[in-house]
Amino acid sequence: MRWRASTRSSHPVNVQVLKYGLAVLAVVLATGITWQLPSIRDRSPFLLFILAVLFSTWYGCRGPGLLSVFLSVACTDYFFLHPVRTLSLQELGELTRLGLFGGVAVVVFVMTDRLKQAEAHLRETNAELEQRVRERTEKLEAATQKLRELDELKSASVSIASHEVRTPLCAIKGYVDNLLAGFVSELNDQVVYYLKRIDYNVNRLIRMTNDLLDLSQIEANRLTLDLQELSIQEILDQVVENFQREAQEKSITLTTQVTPALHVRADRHKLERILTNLLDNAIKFTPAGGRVRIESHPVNEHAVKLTVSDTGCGIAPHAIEKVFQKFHRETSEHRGVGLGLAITKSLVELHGGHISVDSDVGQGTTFSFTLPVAS
Amino acid sequence: MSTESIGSSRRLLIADNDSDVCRTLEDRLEAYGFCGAVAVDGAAALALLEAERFDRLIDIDVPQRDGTKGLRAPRHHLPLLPVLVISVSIACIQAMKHSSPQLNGDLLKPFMTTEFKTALTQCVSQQRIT
Repeated sequence: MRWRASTRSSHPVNVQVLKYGLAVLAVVLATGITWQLPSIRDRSPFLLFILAVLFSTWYGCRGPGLLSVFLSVACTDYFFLHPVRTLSLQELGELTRLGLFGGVAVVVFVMTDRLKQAEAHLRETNAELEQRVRERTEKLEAATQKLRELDELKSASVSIASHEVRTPLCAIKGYVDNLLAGFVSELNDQVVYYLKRIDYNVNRLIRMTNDLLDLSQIEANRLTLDLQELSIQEILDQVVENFQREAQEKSITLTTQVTPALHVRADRHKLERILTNLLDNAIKFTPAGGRVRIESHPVNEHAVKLTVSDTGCGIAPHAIEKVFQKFHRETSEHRGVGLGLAITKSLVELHGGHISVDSDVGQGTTFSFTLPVAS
Repeated sequence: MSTESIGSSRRLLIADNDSDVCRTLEDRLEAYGFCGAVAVDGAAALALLEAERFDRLIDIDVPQRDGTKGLRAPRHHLPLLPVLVISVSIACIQAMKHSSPQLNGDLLKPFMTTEFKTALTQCVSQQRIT
């Protein structure tokens, strides 16, 4: 332990000694090489000493650099300027040469020293910046985590709210359906009209609730599929029957054409949701007296294509790309929150299918989607 | 809406903690020709199942968290009793399917009359063996 402590405390001193030693060595080497090579010695005996000063200042910093300047001046004077082997100079020319060399050596020393300081400053600034980036990254990560938690809280709140309104909606719808079915007593036309309007609006509320719940689950990546083999005909019959009352009220002809015995592998509730959203859209945008048609046929041995087409107002070319975006509504006059088609697209893609839209303004719109065939 | 009889006086037990939902279904089932009884919670449903003979059980969301537990008890006593589960939560329905693969039908609340009738018809077509 004592040895290690001693080693540690002497470490900076050793480094300093090494730096001064290297400065001396550089000057000795410059002297030796210049002495041994007449071509250098006669033409420019100072060249290697400049390199020695440069090296010593760069590697050893100020102290060793300054030492190399003094040693270089002394060595060149002693070994290479007349009279040699003495530090005294008798000729003005030699004195001038030594003075010039000394000046150049000092300039090299000062420039290298400043460069070294600039480099150190740059390194410090870099470390400071890295520290700042690290701190900002940590703050950003904390903010992201907070946002993620808030998003999860929002999804959970929407999910809970959607679940909580389902039971009262179920009760309201149950009472209205029972009254309209005539389970209680005969009703006059005005009461029937009122009940139908309540039923229509409850259905809207149900779809909105379903949309919000689906969206919260899609955004939280919590939407799972309960895949099973389903008869297209059976699912379509049920969904279409749910819209018959609304279609009749608008004098819209609702028809289906399905290739017999066609089965898909899908989640029943989700497939009903997809068809419900597309049919709701088609009926909403089709004027009285129009037609809505649902067709289904195999595309190949792996996929089935379903299309929902209407003779409605159509979608303008500039709006086609936006129809599957969340909260997109072509005009504020249209009811709904603009989630149905975005959710529909997500549900289709979750099944491994693809959805597309084709529309002519004033002629109508066709939504097509594919689903995997039940094996 | 068609009100033709599909019940043939079969006895059905409706279990739910929401009296309004129970009432609407009870009225509808009677209109379909069933003979319905209502239990307002899981314990009452279990007591009725032990005391009387029922042909079907309609288990409606004994709250979300207890739904699977609510179904497990009657399944334990009467393993072959056809059950139609109605819930506000798809996750709850899926959990019930896992815990009881012989589930005879499921519906998500709120449901359309036609959906209820289809699910009920499918459930009715299952034979009670006990």
